[in-house]
Amino acid sequence: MQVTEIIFLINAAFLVLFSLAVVVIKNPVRATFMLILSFLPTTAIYFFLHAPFVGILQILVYAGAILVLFTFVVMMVNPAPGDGEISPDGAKRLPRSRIAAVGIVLLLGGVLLSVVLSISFPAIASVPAEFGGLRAIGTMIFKNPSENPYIFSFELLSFLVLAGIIAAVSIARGREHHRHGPGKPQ
Amino acid sequence: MSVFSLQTCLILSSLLILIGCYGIIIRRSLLLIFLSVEIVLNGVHVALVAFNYFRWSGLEAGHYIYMLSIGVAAVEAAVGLSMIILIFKNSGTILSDALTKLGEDKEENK
Repeated sequence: MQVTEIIFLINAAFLVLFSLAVVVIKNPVRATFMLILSFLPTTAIYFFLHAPFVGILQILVYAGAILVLFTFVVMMVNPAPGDGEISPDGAKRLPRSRIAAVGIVLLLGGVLLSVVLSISFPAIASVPAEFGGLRAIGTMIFKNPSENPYIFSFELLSFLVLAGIIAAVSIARGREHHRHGPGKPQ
Repeated sequence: MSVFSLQTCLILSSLLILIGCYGIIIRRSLLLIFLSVEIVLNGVHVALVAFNYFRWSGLEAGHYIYMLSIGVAAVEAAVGLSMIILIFKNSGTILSDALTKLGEDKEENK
């Protein structure tokens, strides 16, 4: 076994470990930070797969933007440690639901892993040196705008983000502005 | 058989998806269910990038779908978290067991 393979396996093990920690840890703030931590080995695996741009996006967009949003909401809602646990008051109900969860996951895992292990993938020519770089991806998306299938969905995504911003602001505001609005006597 | 292969990456992504599903089932807080959904998404992203590398056919389509997917995930996180904040403002809790009503209480809405 080569050194790179060992490093790859260590990263994969850390990824699974941190993800498990997100699921089983009791403190919600710690769970969020564990998710941020789990993105570091993910980025390393993307670099192994010759996808440096994707790895940088993972850190910038996911860990930098989305998870910071999560952290703010966790601080705002401020759940007590153990709030995320399954039925803290009824201790009798705890093992049953956990057994059900493990059963469902085992069923799903049996299907997934049997499919993955049974299919044999033929070897294919290795990728060129510029694979996964910014130039290759940018050329793929923006080349030949009139007959490129990618650019349309890429531009549509910006409209989706705009709709998301408007929806998030108007939902999070709630009914407050009606209640304390100028039209009503206070 | 080499360790660094498509099958290893797919097993890794399956494990991540399973861990996320376990979290979705077992957690009670809406926020932590949301975090588990992010783990499932992470597993799918690993599978996308791995397929693109090991089954390369001339395009970085997997990377492109990854970019689309994190865009959608960002919008989903923004809208979902604002809904969680609204639910917390209205009912004072985000535990999925305690949330049995979809609307607001009529008496409090004066």
